[in-house]
Amino acid sequence: MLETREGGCHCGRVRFRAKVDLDRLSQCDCSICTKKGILHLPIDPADFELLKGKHALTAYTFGTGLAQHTFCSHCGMHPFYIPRSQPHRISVNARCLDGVDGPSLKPTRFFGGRNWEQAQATRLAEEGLAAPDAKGGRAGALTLQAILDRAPE
Amino acid sequence: MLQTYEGGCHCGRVRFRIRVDLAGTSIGECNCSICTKKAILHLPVANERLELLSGADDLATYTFNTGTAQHTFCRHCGIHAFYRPRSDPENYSVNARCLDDYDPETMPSRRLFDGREWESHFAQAGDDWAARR
Repeated sequence: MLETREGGCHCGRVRFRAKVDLDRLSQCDCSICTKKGILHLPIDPADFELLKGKHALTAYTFGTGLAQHTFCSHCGMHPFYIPRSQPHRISVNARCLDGVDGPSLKPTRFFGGRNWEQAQATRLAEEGLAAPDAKGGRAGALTLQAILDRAPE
Repeated sequence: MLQTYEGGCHCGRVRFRIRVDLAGTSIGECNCSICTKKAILHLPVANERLELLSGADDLATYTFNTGTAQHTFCRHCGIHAFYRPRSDPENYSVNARCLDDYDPETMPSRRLFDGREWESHFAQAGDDWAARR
């Protein structure tokens, strides 16, 4: 069920509001998602609003540099990020929504990011989508910048 | 039997080596406000059995509330590889997700610490928690 929820990091510097569907919770087994333990809710940036904290965020990148792994520099939480598989969208970390209990969150979808190319091809085929435009490798950074640009100081 | 494992953050700056008996030590989850967000899978490790191989200067420390727990994370990639828990601050809780050999099939969470009711749960489970090292 699509609902508007708020969430944030732990120290309270980073806050967001987003339209999410917790019935479509997804998990990935790639190297960084495993360490982050993130539970993904990928959404359109139009359904996401950064309420505060744009200057508290650090973005970590590696590999292709497409994904923008943002986290709060003060408490180290990863409330959302821009995924490599959908660099024109933003993935909300369900663990960082207000009022959730981590161990009770049960993902219903799975992305086999350890074999990334294969997982991406399968996902695109299942959803009938074309590969997203990587914009010369800058698609993720551009999506993040647009979200930060419209966030309050 | 104590065995040696290595692990670290994602960017590679923070690396550690531990000695732990994985067969006799339960990996656990906690439902408190910060463990929910960190997604940490707790593996208790005695202080003298964790060796920080690199990254001491790359660790940032976040504290809140009582200030007892030292929530360390890599300031470059934001990964929380280990920390000093409020329930046992003289020792470490290693994030099993950050072990090089982490395998969710063979290293499942086997216990739940009710961190939302921290004081009452610790009173019941505190000694037990320490004994699991």
